[in-house]
Amino acid sequence: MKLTLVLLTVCLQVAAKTFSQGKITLKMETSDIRKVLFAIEKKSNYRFLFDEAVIKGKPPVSIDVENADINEALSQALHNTGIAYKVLHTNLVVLKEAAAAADIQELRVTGRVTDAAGTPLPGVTIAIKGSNMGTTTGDDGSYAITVPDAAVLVFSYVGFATLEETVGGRTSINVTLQPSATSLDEAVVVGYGTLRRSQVVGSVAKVDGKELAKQPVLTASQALQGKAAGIQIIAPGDPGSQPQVRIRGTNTVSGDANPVYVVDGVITDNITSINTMDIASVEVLKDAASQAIYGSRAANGVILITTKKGKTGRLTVDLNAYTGIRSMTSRVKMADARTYAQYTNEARGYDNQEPMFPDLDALEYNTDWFDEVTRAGLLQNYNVSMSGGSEKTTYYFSAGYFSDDGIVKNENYERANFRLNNSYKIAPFLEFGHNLNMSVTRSNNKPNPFNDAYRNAPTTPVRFPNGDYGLLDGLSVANPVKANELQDHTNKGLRLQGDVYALLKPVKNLSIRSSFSFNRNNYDNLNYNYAYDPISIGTDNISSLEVEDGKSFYYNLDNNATYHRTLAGRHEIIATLGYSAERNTSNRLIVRGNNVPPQSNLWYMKYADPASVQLIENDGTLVQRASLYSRLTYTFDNKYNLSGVLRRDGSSNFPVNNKWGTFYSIGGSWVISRERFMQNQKLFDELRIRAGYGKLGNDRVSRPVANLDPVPQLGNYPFGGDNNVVIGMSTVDLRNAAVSWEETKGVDAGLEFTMLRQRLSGEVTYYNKLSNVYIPVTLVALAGDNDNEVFSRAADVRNKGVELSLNWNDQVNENFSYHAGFNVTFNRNNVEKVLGSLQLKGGSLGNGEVVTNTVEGEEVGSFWVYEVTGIFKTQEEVDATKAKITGSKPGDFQYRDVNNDGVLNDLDRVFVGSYQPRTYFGLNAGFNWKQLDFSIDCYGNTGNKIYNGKKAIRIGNDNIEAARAENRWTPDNINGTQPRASNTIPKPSTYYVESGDFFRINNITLGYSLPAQQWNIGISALRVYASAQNPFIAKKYSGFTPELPGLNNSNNSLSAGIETGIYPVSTTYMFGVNVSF
Amino acid sequence: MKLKLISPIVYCAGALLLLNACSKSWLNPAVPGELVTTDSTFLDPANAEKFVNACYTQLLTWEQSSFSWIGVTSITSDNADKGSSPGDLGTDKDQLDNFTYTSTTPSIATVWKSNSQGISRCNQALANVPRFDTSAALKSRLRGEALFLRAFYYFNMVRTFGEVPIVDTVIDADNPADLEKINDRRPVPEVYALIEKDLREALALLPTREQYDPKDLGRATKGAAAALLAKVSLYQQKWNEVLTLTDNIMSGTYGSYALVPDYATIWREVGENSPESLFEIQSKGTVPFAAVQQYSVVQSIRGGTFNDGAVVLTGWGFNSVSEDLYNAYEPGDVRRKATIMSIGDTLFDGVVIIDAVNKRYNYKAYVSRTQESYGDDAGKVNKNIRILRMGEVYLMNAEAANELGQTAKAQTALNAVRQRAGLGNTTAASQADLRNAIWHERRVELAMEHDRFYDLVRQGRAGTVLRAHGKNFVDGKHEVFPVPQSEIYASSGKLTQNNGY
Repeated sequence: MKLTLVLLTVCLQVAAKTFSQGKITLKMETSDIRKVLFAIEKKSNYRFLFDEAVIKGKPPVSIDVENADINEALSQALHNTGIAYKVLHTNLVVLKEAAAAADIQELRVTGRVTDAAGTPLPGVTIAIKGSNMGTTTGDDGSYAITVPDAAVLVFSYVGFATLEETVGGRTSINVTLQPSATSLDEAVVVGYGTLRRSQVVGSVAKVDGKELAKQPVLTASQALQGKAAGIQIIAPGDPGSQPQVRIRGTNTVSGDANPVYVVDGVITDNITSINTMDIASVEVLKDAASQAIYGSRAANGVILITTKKGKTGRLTVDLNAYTGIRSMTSRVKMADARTYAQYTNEARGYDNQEPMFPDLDALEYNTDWFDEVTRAGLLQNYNVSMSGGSEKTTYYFSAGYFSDDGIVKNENYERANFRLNNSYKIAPFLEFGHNLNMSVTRSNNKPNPFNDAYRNAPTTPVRFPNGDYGLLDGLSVANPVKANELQDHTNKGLRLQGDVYALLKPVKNLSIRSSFSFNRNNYDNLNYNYAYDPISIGTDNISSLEVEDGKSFYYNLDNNATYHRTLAGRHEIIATLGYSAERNTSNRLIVRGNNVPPQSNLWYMKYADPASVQLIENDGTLVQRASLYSRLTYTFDNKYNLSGVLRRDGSSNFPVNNKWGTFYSIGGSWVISRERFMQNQKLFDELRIRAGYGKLGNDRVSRPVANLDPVPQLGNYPFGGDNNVVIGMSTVDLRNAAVSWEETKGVDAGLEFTMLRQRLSGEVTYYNKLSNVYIPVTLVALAGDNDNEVFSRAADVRNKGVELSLNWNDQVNENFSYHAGFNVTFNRNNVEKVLGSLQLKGGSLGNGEVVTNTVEGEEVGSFWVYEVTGIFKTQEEVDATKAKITGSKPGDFQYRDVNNDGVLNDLDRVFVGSYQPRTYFGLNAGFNWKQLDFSIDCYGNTGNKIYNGKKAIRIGNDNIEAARAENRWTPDNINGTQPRASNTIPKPSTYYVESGDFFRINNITLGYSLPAQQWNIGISALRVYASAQNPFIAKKYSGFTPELPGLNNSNNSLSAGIETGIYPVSTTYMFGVNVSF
Repeated sequence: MKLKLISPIVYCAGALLLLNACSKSWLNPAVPGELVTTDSTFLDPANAEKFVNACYTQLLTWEQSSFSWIGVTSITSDNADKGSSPGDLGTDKDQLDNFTYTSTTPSIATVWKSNSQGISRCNQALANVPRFDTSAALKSRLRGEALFLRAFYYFNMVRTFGEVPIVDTVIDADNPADLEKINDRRPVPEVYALIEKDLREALALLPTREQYDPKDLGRATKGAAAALLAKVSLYQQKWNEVLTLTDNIMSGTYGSYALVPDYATIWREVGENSPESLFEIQSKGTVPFAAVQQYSVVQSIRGGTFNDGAVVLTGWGFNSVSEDLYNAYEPGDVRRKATIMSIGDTLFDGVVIIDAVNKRYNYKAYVSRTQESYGDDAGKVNKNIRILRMGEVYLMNAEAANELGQTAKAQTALNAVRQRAGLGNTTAASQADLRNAIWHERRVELAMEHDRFYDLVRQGRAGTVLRAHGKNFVDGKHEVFPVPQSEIYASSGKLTQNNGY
């Protein structure tokens, strides 16, 4: 924090310096020559051109001139240095060793710049290498520039390869620029290898690590928000968690709908341990054709993360630091004490209960519970990396520290990261390497206070004057401050992940890769509850300690061979064949004890009341998988590509005869722009179409599907007067014997292009995929299943849509470049089939009401509610209405009797949309102007709905939103727009369904790069920046955030978009610095 | 040099590939804590008993014996009020108290589902026990226990919901006949027939309480089967059966039982598994816990103030005792103080209730943290729930005798109960008066023991009594609870609904 501020101050001072013309006034004593020259450049129009060798090792110099001309100044400055100079009339000053100075000649060079077809190129930048002086070509491609005879001219132009020409005494230099290596030749990581973009037959979105590193977020997936089409990121608010990610819609009903992450080949579902700063690029595999190589895990998409590697060359050291403040982005206005008290009295009155607050003028407190539990939290990140390499080895090392306090008082999440990515060339045909990451995390968590803060009475103080925590009898809501202060939850984690590989090229064209990748996660959780009861009614004062110790170990042994050969110059074949074996185990131990002293250094079972110490859980899991995979890519003439994947996967999750699944994909692409008939058109620089089809599997099905536990243990029972505690066992989970892989099949077709000298690039893709998924089929209780559910692959879910992305990128001149990008996804989710008449109800609010249902023809997890038609104004209206909720009173909602049967029941509930957006989009723009850089990223979605669950749960006597209390129905205000005060559990209705549309500015960053020459401590780049994360949101929803990962942050598609006690997304303002050496 | 390096690497890579590829067991690992196949379970004879134990462990669940059960069986009655603070509805306990519940009221669904699960576990036990290589004697005892518990769960089902499907085998989800069976509600007499058949067989198979090894204390006994059969017969007004069975129990045919002298001790720890008790749910409130989940805490004193230094199990305050019950006791009846804790009372462990949210609480659910075993977990306490006890056996005997015109015999049994309560002999002499006296005696003797609502329905006067108590009881509807809507959905509409819901 301090460091940042200091640097910023320096930066501002430098920028504030003024500029004077011609005459130079300068006083510097025994300074480095470079600094003196830089000072002269700052104060004049003169620019220096010299070889580093000239000034290297020269003694410090002094200068003291006032209104001197350049000759006077330089004579003084270079006195006794052995350096001679020559001032050219373009104000360019050439420095040379004194002996060579006489050779400096001034030449006027002219010429013309054309492309390969001979067309003149206007606006080509021509710079004198080593200086920042230059010119540009005119409309006819011609230029003229005066240069020293030994100068090197650098010709650069967007879309063309940069060309250098040594003048060497010539006065006329005509050049022909060749198109630059195109984006079609960019390497794309596709799983078990890379392909050129032109060879990729599926949909792969690539995002550069630099884009991700800009944002002050924990995980790369959150930074992906809005960066690419087809990827919906639902951001979390609480520190230390990762967002929910949906790639092209929600495929699954009961299972995990998140994609898998593959970090340098290590498959994982949690990337909170990966430092965003270490990421070189992220590739998102979006369709079956590209995902098929990860067939057994890929049904929800794959996010490939490639971390940075060292490059042969000198040691590079990068420092990155930022720090900022987080605060709540949007709030909900709750009723104040008087409104609340009045409302509650009214509600109780309708139920013939005594008023709770007989004297509204005697209210002593007006507590804003949100103020009491939240704060502005500090966010910090520091990172250092060192990389480099020689012919034989490359190395990349980084260390990072991330700390996020969050917005809830007393919370904190910290992570330290260490990464070591090395490679060793043992022989020309053999390379070893490793990518190793260690992360150490520690978080102090507090119970989520938002639900209790929302419900708690404003009439209750945080503490009474006698020091007791405030509580209102008759309201079953915990005091969130008390819960915060009297519960300590500490989670510590140590995670080691990475891979070690050998790459062997025994013969030409063949490479064999063996790798062992692993992911070891150790964690311990410590939960200490001080002697208190969250809704304490009495004196139940026992402290308790629960410790959990868990570990998991995943490894994957993978061997594959790739044969890559081009025959007859035009037939390119890449064949990959591999085998992998995976094992994933975990185990945990949970112990609980009571009466542990409150001092944290005594939080061990040793200090608990021995009689109370009990083993809560000690169990484990194990999954093993085996896979054979192959991919064949054939490219003809660099234009036509065919690619196919075939793999067989076995998983121990399935019964003996159903373990294996076969998955495949086939696709093709055609680079139209490389056809001869395209050579004469000017519209497209590149044009490519592609299409693919594939079938994928998923074994990450809900536990009841894969449950291998036919006869579980079912609790204890004490016989023998408590002396003989026995266990029970029985079969309580009915299993579908045909359980096997969940399948997704899909097509994807796209068109990619670049236009206008590669300044405009774009992509349009159509996709359509169908997933045959497991759903819990409800059985009557007497069938014997413990939870009345049997999982069966009985539903088909289709997601189809169109993705569009456009990017504009232009370098206007040497000082200014800008870019703008837009991507949008139109997705339509539809449940095609639900076997039989089974109903998939979800979104239980915990008050007996469920609010979603998943049926044929609707989206997964559609809100299923009564339609409010109005408010009963009078008792006569109530009496006159046949179909109503039993016990309806004037002021209650009137609902539509959809089937007109005179009874209001589930048959009258209507589907009103789901949380799944029909459209989501990202907008990115930015520019670089001289030393300034600016960028802005936006994200939004439309067409989805949110259920305001927190509002729809009423326990009785809890607080209400101010807007709910205002203009409510009362006998004196029978035209009120809000229903009467009530303590009744509300029925699910359209009243609680709100629009989920939102538009958000994700990030605005303004940076300033200080001229590197100014520093003589080896800094090659120095940038300071200020950034705002989530500074602005436009939303229709009245709650805290329209980004709702699932009920209580669960990952359940059936309860997505219901807000109950969500940890709100926060806004961060921060400063940062990047330094490279 | 080069060759030397290559060959081991190629060899290793190849070997690993083959090793894994050849290893079929890779995809059939022994998963922690899980038995690979059902069959391996049957190799260990000790597991036979565990299948039957699972029929008991269901009794300890929150769903089976706790909040929902208390709500449906007790808060509905005139003995208890919802309790707690007015705003704390305990999910739906206000609906149960006021008879505004519907087919979606969660507590009712919980009672249905939990008893169904109990029945299924018994069916599993009955099907699986014969597969074990263990003694015939043990197998027959285990069968008797499972039959007794199936009857117990079915009795709860039939008296709560009326017609229910009869499922007496393990359901095979691939068998259409089984899928029909689980959705087919059978007439009440058919359900009772199954219960009686199970109990008769259990009566024959089960040992008496004396014949059990001490370590098995708490398992179903011959006495338990006889008493439950008597009660089931009582509900069907099979007076001869009731009389014979209760006579036999009282004369010690099925083991030695007796009314314990001090009524107040019946529901305390000292009264666990006493000669009074024919069957009770065993609960252990110390480590390792094996307790009825939160049975006591939901009924414990809410927001109380106590004498200095008192250590009290406080709780949610639901199922508070009604004023009507308080006033129902005759002067001098020791059972009032033993059943009800009122503000101002001094409890047996010295706790003085100075103030509390509710006026009266269920003393039978009270656990002393100082005078009884307590493991510092208010949710898991040492409170056995008494299901069948001699007080009721005597009253069933009296009721059957009276219905059969054996007035003297009825008075004798009734007086035995009154005597223990510190009361004089009954003055009722006519059959009708005596019937009312016995019904009244049942109310106060078995107060807060989850029978009052069912008794009122059985006696055909639920509407009269409960409406007089201010409840919204509708005749012809509220005698049974609605079939849970969730179950009707799950049956794709095949399960029918009770009248009026």
